[in-house]
Amino acid sequence: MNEIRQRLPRTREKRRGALTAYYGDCAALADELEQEEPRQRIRTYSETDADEVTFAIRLLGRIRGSVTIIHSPPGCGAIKLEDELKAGGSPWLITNIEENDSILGADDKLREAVDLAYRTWRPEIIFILTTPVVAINNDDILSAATEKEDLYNIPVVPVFAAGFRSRTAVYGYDLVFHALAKYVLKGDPGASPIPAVNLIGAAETRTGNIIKDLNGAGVSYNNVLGSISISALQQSLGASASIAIDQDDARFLLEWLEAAHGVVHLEETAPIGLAGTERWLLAAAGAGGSTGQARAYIEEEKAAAAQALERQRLDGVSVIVDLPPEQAFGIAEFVEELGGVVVALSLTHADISHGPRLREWASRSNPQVYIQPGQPFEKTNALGKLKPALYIGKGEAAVWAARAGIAAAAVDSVDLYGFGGVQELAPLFAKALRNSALSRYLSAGGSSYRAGWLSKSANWHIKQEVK
Amino acid sequence: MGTTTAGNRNSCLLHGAVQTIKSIEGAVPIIHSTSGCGVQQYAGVSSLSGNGGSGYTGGLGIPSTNFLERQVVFGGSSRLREQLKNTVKIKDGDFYVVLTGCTPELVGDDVPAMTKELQEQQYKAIHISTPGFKGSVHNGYTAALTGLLRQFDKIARTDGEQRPIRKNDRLVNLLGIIPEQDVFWRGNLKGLKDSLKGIGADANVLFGPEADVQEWTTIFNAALNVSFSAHSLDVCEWLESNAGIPYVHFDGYPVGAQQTGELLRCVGKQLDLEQEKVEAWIARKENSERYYILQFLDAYYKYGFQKRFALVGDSAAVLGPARFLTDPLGLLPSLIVVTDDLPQQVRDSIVRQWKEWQPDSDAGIVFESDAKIIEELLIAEEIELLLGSSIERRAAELKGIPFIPVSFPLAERIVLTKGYAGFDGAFTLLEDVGDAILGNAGSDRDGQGTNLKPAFSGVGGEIQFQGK
Repeated sequence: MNEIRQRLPRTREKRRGALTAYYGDCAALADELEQEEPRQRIRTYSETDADEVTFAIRLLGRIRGSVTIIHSPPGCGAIKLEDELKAGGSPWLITNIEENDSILGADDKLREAVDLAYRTWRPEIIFILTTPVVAINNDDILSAATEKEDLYNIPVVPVFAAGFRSRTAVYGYDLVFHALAKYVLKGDPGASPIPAVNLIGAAETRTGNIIKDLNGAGVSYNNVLGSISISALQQSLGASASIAIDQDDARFLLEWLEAAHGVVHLEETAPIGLAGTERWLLAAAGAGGSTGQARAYIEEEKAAAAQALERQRLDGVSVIVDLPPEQAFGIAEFVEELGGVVVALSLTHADISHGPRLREWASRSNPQVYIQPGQPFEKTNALGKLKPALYIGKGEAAVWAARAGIAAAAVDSVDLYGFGGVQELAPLFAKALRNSALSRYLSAGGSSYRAGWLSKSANWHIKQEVK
Repeated sequence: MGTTTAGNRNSCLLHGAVQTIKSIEGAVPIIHSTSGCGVQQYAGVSSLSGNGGSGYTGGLGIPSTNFLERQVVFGGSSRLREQLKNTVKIKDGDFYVVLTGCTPELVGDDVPAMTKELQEQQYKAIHISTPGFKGSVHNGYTAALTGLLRQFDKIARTDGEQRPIRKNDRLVNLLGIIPEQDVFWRGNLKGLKDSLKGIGADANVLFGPEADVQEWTTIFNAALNVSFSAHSLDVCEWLESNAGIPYVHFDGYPVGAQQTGELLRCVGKQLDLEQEKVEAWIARKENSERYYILQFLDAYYKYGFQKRFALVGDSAAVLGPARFLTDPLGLLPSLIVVTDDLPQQVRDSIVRQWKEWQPDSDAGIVFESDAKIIEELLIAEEIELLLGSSIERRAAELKGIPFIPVSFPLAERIVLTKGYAGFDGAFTLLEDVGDAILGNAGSDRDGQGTNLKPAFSGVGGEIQFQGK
């Protein structure tokens, strides 16, 4: 993996042909992603959405023993404040770059910030996260980091986010994993082998259910998710294999571990739903040598779940699933297990690695597929035409579905994964359908979108990019 | 601003402008910046303002040009032109406000020219320069309001006829309550509007559901501007020199009958209202306040409400509650931490006025926004009650004292109509203080280790049956 030598990893667009705008069906998208270079599309009207900075901030907040210095004007730390208060993220400082700093540079301010971080928290590691202003004014972050690393004898790691390099916010995870690999793990001569599988996650991965399943299946794992420790990351180099809960989020780390340290990446889709969890657990158990115990555990859990799910069926209910790709594919499969009909998938992005899943869906019912990171204007339009009985997504987007009159279930408050996730998700969907009074009430209140727009095709503002 | 801080709560100028504009009915903000700027405002400000949400046009629904590297290199003007042209066709609104973030400001996009193109197509649209590196969320409020007023002719409703502005002798504009940065902004504006109504004054609150569509059309008709924050002084000065509207300024909104009475007497005098009517209304509300304080008095003594307290938050939001808790409630102010960035003369004025009002008070007033330093100050202080933001909860937990979340950021409460300003806001504050003190009573123990919580609660204990 040569890009570890580079200052930055390549964007998902360049590395995997990631698309962030699309409107069609699964078969057509699979065809396109299988081409050498998928055709990039742009929007001629867009609405705000997460970027690489926001995702990097969230992942850095999960690294135990760390302090993050956000080198930016004051607003770029807003989401970190939310992360700290709502998810208990790690400590942080912000350099509050002003107008003159944006012109003359703010290297000195950054050095002082590193000193302050070290004095205040005595962390194991300090991250310096750059932001749009720094990407433009070109502060010499690297020399400040090197100088302070030598002084304090702890890793001082730059994460070069810009907020405008990629349209995929998940690139923020790549930036953090790249920085960890390049500055923290690369110098490691190689950890001692451990008889365990790396369990890898990213910023928003809930872990309770899947850890219960791994324990039940007798799989030894090295926990590199939830609250990630540097020692677990170092140990990951000696693991027998790696498996991710959401391989799209963790793809950079998975590929680097395999390329640089021979730790095999178990390509398995997210453990969501009955079949999804079974496949995932068997893959993990296969690498960990506990297949027999895993099979027994799986049968027991499936039997228990089958009985509970009888009362939560979605027979014949039309559903749209609007989530990041791995979660969307997993939940869509679970919707079908419950008897529901997936009429559309709305993804935050899709790239060549999603081709096989899309091909699989194309051979089933070939539902519509939209690629819409955020973009409530397109969602509202598409929902008005599709009129599904149930919308499944995250809260921030579910509000727009509810306003469009669609019964909505938001998955933010539940742990999606494993057999426990099955028991949490099914009642969530059933409740949304059982009483859809709120969405009926909201739809009577009118839309902030003009009728003229809602009567147009939902992909009206998606155009092919001119190179 | 400008120095490195831990746990910054004052966000940036762009965010302040976005939340100000989106709180005006019929206004559509258009962000010209990287895609994350709007999300940072939504997640990092709106959602921490008592879990504020997308509302009509906020959240993920804010139009944004989502600047990319190509625009950094070649300029983003043409992308903005395209966005503007399409926004007016997609987003329903009375007028559109283009707000520029750091990136296009550094690149040097010609945003006024793009906005002018929209104006030439008969759309009501303006541009306000709001790069995040030029200040905090408070400065964003100031920039947004002055920007709107300077370009008011471009967004005002017109029926083709220019009419002279007719002054309304009873109309006041209320300024300085910053939407979302003041977590109780809707309730506070309502509390002030209701309080003023009693003396026969009409109030333009300008933001939120209490502001009807008429308000923005009559902003220049007002006879007086009332400023409740140093961040609205520039707006007041602009209105005074350009529209001849005088202003009065208070360091924070009033809480309770005493402070609201002062405000109403001042406004009544400025508007030349009938003094007897003003005094009658104040007396009526004083009686009402007395009634409720008497109702609460037993709990006050039973649970030991007379505590030494600290209060942390924006100047506009902490000074009024601090005064009300001190007088008439008789609590003992120990430390007041003002977290917004204020000019030195405003800081001096706040300290001077406090000392004039409470010459014997040993309360310290500190101007600090760094969360870590504030936490250290609070831990070192001998206090028995803490009012602050969600950041300060930890200090209260460490000290084992009651905590009341009252300022931004506020993550653990849903806030819709609640407010502390005006006559009736004092009762809400009283209820919140009471809930916190009673809620904490179970963990309080006196010198002999006796639990102060009433023995009948049964919480956490085993139920004892007679004869067992």
